[in-house]
Order: sequence, then C-alpha cells, then structure tokens
Amino acid sequence: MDLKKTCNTALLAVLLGAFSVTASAQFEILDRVLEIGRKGMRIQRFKGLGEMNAKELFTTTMDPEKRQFLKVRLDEENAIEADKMFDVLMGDIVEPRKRFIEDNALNVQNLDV
Amino acid sequence: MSNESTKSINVADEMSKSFLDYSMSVIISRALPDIRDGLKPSQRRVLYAMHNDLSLSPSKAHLKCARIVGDTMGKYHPHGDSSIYTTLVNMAQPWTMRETLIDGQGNFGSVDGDSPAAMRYTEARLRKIAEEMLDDLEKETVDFRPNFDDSLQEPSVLPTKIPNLLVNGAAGIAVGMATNMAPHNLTEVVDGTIAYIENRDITPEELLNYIKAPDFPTGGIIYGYEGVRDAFLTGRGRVVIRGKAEIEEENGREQIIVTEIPYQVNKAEMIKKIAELVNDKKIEGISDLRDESDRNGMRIVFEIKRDAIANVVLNKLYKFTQLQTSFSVNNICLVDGRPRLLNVRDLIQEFVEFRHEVVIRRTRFDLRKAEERAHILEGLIIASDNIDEVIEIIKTSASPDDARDRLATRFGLSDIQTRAIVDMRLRQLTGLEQDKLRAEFDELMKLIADLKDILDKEERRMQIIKDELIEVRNKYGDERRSTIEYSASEMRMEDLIADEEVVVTISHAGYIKRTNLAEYKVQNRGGMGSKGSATRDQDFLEHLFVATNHNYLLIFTEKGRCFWMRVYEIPEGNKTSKGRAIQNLINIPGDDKVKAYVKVLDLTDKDYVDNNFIVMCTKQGVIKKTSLEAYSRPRSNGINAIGIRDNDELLEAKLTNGSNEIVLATSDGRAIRFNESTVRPMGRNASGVRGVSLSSDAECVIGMICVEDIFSTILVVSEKGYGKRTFLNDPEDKEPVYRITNRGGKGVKTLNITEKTGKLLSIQNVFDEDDLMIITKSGVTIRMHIDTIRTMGRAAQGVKLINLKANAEIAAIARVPRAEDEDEDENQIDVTEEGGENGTEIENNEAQSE
Repeated sequence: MDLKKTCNTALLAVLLGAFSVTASAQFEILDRVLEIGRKGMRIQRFKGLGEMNAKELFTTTMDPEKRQFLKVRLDEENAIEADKMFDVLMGDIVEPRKRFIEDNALNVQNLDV
Repeated sequence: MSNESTKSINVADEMSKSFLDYSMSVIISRALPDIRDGLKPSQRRVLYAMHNDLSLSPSKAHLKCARIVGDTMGKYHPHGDSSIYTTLVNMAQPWTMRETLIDGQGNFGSVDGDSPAAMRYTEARLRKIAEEMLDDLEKETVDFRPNFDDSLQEPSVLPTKIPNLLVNGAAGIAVGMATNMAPHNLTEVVDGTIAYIENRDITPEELLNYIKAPDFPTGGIIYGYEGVRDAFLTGRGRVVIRGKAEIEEENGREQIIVTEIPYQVNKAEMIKKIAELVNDKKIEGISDLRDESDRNGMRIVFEIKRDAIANVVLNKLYKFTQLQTSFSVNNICLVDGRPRLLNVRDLIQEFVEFRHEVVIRRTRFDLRKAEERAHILEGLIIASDNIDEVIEIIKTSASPDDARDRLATRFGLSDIQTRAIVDMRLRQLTGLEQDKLRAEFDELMKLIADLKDILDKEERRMQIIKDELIEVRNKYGDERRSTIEYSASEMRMEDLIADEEVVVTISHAGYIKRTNLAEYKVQNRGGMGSKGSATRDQDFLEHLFVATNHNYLLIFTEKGRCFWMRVYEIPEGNKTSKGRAIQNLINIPGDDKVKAYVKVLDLTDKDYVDNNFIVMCTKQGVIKKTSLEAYSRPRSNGINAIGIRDNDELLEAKLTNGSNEIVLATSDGRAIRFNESTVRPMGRNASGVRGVSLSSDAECVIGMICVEDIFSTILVVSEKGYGKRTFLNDPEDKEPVYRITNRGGKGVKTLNITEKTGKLLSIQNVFDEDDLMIITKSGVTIRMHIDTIRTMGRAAQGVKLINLKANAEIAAIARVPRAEDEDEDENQIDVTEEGGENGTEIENNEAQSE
C-alpha cells in the first residue's frame, strides 16, 4: 500500500495490522477503527425465545460458573412500596401509569425495537 | 448452586425497571406512529422491504405475501409473522385506509369482518402512492439505522411526500397511552398544508376552512361539528359518524336503504345485532331486513311496517345500533421519539418541517453528485483538449497506476479524474461526444448554481414543497367521501317517537294514561269512551283531551308547584286500562296534590312561550299570571309556580293568550269578570294579586274560566243540582251581562244562592254543541245537551239539572263533546274542558271520525 498515493485524496490513512482504510477527517478515525474491528464478526440477537443452540444457551445463561440468579424479594419494609408500584403499573387507573412513564422515560435501559 | 451468584432484588425496583423497558419499547417502537411519515415501525418495515428488498413497484407483478412477510421479519422486524401479515393486509384494505398503500391481489377480507386468505395465497405489490413515500430514500434524505442484528440498515423514517399521518390516520394501544387518529381527505390536507406554508401564523381555527373534518374511507355522515372542532383544535374530540341511509318507497311500503356504514363497523355484525334487537322488539317497525350488498357496492334494506314511520325507525337504528358510532380522536404520535398530543396545526407544522429537512438533504445530495460529476467532466474535458498528449502518456506508461500518476502530475488532476480518463472509451474522442461533454458540463454548472440557490433560499425550498404537494394532490386527490352535517344536535327522545295524536285521560284519583286516538276512532262510534275506562271504585275520568306525543303537560299542585311531562312519557294504555297514578310519574311530595293540568304545545318555540301565559287562581281569591316562558325549562323536581299563602291552596291553572277574559266564581254565588290584561305578568315565585274579595271567611273561590269568545255562555251549578246558563255578553245588544269590573272586587250575583240550591259548586264556559255531564259521588251520571239548558238572566235561581237523593252529592261537573249516537251512550266519562283549544280539538277529532 502506497501511503503517498492514498494521501492524494484522503487526509488520513489508518493502518491496523493487515487492514487499512482511509479517513477524510480526524473524527472519522474511530469509526474506521470500529469498522475494522467488526470485520469477521457476527452479531446475533437473542431474546431467549429459541434463537440459541443448547450450547449457546449454556454459555450465555445456564453455566453454573457464570450464571446469575435474581432473587426477587418482597420484604415487610418494602411491601407497601411494592403494592403501590403494582397499583401504578398494572392498576385500573391509567393516569398515574402515564405519569410514571413520563417521569422515568429517560431511565429506560433496554429498548426492544 | 453457588450463593455468590444470587443477587437479591427488590420486587418494586425490578417491576419499575422491567415495566419501563417494556412500556417505552411499546411506546417508542411499536404502537405509536411517527409524526413525520405517519407510520408505525412495522408498517414502515413492510413498505421498506417491499421497496428495497423485493422491488415491488406498481409496474412489477404481484408477489406472495409470505415472501414480503418473510423479508420484513427476517431483515427488519423480528416479531410475529401473523402481526406483520395483518399490518400488510390493513395497508391494502380500502375500507380500512383512506389511501391504501399496498395493492393486494386475492382475498384480503371484507367489511363484513371476513378474514383475509392466508399469506401463502395472497399476493401484493406497492401502490403508486406508496412510492411517493419511498421516493428519494436513496438520496440520504433520512437517517438510517442498523437493523436488529446490525447486519443491515433500515430507514428511521420514510421521506414521504404524502402527509400520510393526516390522510390515513392511525390507531394503536401503547402502555399508559393510546392513539386514535382519524383519516382525512388528501386534497383538503394538501390545501391546509399549503395554507400553512403561506401563512405560518395560521390558527387551527382557520385551518378548518381547508381541512373540514375527518374523511373516512367508508364514507358515512359526520354528524355534528363540535367534536370535529375539538379534535382539530385540541387533538382530542369525539366525532359522531352515521351510516348513509335513504328512505325509499317500494310498492307503497317504505324502505330504509343503507349504502354506507360508519368507519370500523363490521357490517355483518351490525346487521346481526339489529336483527336481534328487532326480534326482541327493542326496535319496532321493521318487518324485514336484507343485505343486498355485492361486488358493486353496499346496500342494506330495512322493510318498514305499514303503520310505522320510517324516520322514527331510522332514528332508533341510529340510537341503538352501530349505524351510528363515534370515533374518539386522540392525536398522540411520536415527535422526536417522544409521545405528544397534537392539534391539527401542530401536525401540519411538523410535517412541513420534516419535508423541509428532506428537501434540504435531497438538494445537498444532488449537489454533491453534481459536483462529483462536474469534477470528472472537468478532467475529461482537460483530457480531450490535450488528447494527443494524454494518449502519448498512457501509451508510454508501464501500468495504469503509472499512467494515472503521470497524468496527475502533468495536468494537476485528482485521483478520481485520472481514473475516469484512463477508463475513457475511444468513442468519446469523436467530435460529437466532445460537444456532449461540454454541453453536459454547462448543464451541470447551471444545475449546481440552481441547487446552491435552493440551499440558500428558504423561500425556494418552500416553493418546492408546495409544488410537490400540488403534484401529489393532482395525482391522488379525490372527493371527500364522508359528508358533514354541521347542525346536528344530540338525538332526543322525541326523535324516536312519532308525533301522533293521542287521547290523554286523567281520573279524579289521578290515574293518567294516553291512548292512541285511532282506538277511539275505531271503537267509538257510540261516542267518546262508550265502554268507559277501568277506574277504581269511586273514581272517574275527570280530564280528557287530545294531544300529540310531543306536547307537554304542565301539572300544578295544590301547594303551587309545577311539574312537567312530555305526553309520550305518559304511560300508554288501551281505552279500558286504568293508567298509572300520577304520583308515581312525577316527584310530587306525599302531602301535595295535583290540582290542574295544562297542555302546552311546544316549550321550545320561543314565539309560543313568549306570547302565552299561565293564569292561576287560589281558593282565597288570589290570581296570578306568568309568562309561559318561565315554565319552558323543565326540571325533574318541579319548580315553584306560585307562592301560596298560609291557609290557601292553588285551585286552577289555565293557559291564556294574554287577551282572554277571566271570570272567577265564589261559593256564595257571585262572579267577577275582568280583562286578563289587568293582571300584570309576574315571576314564578310571586304570590299574585287579589282577583276577587270574598264576602266572608266561610266562602271560597270555586272556579275560574278564561273566556275567549265573549258571546259564549257560562254555566254554573250548585251543590244541590241547580244550574243555569247565562250569556257573558248579550248576543242581541252586545252589552255585557256580567259587567266587566276591576279585579279585586266582590263580583256580581251569578246564581241566587238559597237554602234550596246550596252553595255554588262549579262554573263552566259552555257551548250549544257540547254536552254537560254531572256525576254524583255514588256514581250516578246524567248527560244532557247544553242547548237544552235555557239561557237565563244573571241573577236567576236556575233550574234543577239533577235530582239528588238525600245525602247525595255531586262529584264532578264536566263539559264534554256531544256524543253522536245517544242510544249507546251510557257514558262513564266526565270530561272537564281544559282551556279553549282542547275542547276544539276534541270536536275536530269527532268530525274526523265520522
């Protein structure tokens, strides 16, 4: 790869191991590096509804060494709070539910699109 | 199981977190449409897959829906195939979408709720109008984002030229919120959008001049405008939709023909429901109903029974069935990924802003492409100007790269330009091609200048948006389907009840009923009520008059309260039925008693209520006049009609026209006559003024008549059955027999009261052609023609009208219309005349029955 020739039009050349890409501005460098990083990789989306093979299921979820249990607790001290929460989220009255969603919209963590 | 991998979480926290993930997912990327293209993600992905992956343009052959669903699901939408197919199907159903986006081939269901054929049978392709939504997608007009597994890109919104959200509406249930947006007419929406572009300060109110109302794919009638206005101005409102129905006559029978039904109504379900209501007698007057709809259109036929009124039946269909529904507009959609409630102006504004962005991005793209091309052309032109030298360089170069290097150095060309030169074909060396190159370059320069100008001037971009909208309107716009009925009022009971003539009877004990006049006509050759009415022992009919169902009945009580009833609210019964106690029909307190009934034609007619009066008198001689207007706002608990003083009670109430003459008679045989005009109108709560002065505490007022015809006679009857008839004015010399005096006096003698006659009991305004009925408390009835009672002087003692046995008492005296056949006439009915017009009406009815 002739660096000089590449530089003829592109401002920057990114060389990473066997890969080389060009970037026309500094801010593009990160994108380009990520682009290289993604090469040869495959993304799969697992919802837990049968996309995984048994082995994948084991490594991702069931492996006793790595898995994590979530123990859902309803303690005396937070029973009232929990009751209120259930009322808001699943009760008959819509208005408090709407308010809850609006108030916490920015705290959302996983969006299923 | 190792303990350290177990994490304790609070149920409330977990619920809160998970619920938020779930609800936000549904809100942001499932149930709500984007304000810009009006699509929900599933719809957008179906359209994009059809456009991008399957190239299903309108000119292509249809493709199996299964392939569309498969591509959509596999590439962009990792959700249920059946819901994707439903999304696709909905976009192809002309009764669901105002402008369908997909052209379906095969069975896509029907307005009867039939489900579409399975996706392995049906086929589809895009409609032309959908292409308008996808155009310019490749011109970097909208942002793309990775699909679910980052393997593909999908558009976050479509660069639509169609104001799709307003045109097709949307419906969706998210969490904590839902949306229901009405479809509109494309032509109107475009006009409204252009009006907004031309005047950014246009108010939502003004936009109503362009976008008049929703326009449903199924047509129908938008009934009433308030809800529409609310929806447009606030984003929420209730739009009432009615089916389109016409009344036709076929073989002398009326039919209701329904050709359009409200939006989102399942026709088969609706007909089934109506049939049930007809069978259960909840809707009467329909003898048969048929669905004659076919491939050419909708036609539901309701056969109307002969004796039913088609309009009343139709109103009942509107009231009780889905032939009238309402569409609750709730304009919630995503603006910048957040749900918002928008009015019509907001919707248009957001759409225009989006179009503006698309135009800018498209122009930038076009400009970049043009400049890139110009850059190449520049190189080619330089090359062709120096073609011999270029050829020489290429010929003497070892490799293409070498040639490009040398060209770049020699002519100062860029990498792209030298590549184009090396790739040049020999034919481009001809003179013609050379000219073409220059021409193309000149064209490009103009284009570039133009594009730059567009990017410079917002005015030009707005013009482009307008031009494109007008083009869309000219191509796809059509007439509005839903007609608008602006002045619809809430459906009232009376719309459901025919305004037929009925006979209202009220017994002495207060049993009231109404009977169809026809029943009297048919059965009553012998005169009114020849069979009589089933009254309790000791009871008898005291009032009888003809009214129509829509008339009002004012009911006055001893304590001076007034209650209302519509005539149709009176229980219906046949001639022999007893009726119901009036106490059960109005909220009358237990210690009060109904004293007088006044039939009123129409309380909503301003002219009528302003020019008529209620005149009341009390036992103690107080008289009071109040405009009927004061009684024109019915309240279920009744109102005060007159302030009754202690030891007094209301005796009589009558309807007058303001110029009647009033005669009050007292128990000591005196009568006072004065003009109604001398009693000035007072408010409802007033107590009134002195009508007559009683000669002693032992006496009281026994009756009041309001006379229209001063040459008519008045009849007085005493306790012991003596009576006489006297002219009010002498028909010969026209002079008053009863002197007209000021109100408040003691009056003049009208019957010589003696031991023999007993006290005065009754006063009636009578006419020659009427009959008089006297009923004793033991039930003896005497009926005589009025004209057999000789008229006498004012102070005469009178003649004996009835022979009363010892201790017998007269219960009631009534003027009734003359029976036509006296032989059969063993009348049990007593009719007290209820104000002039009632009497006249009864006469008319008799005339009709002959």
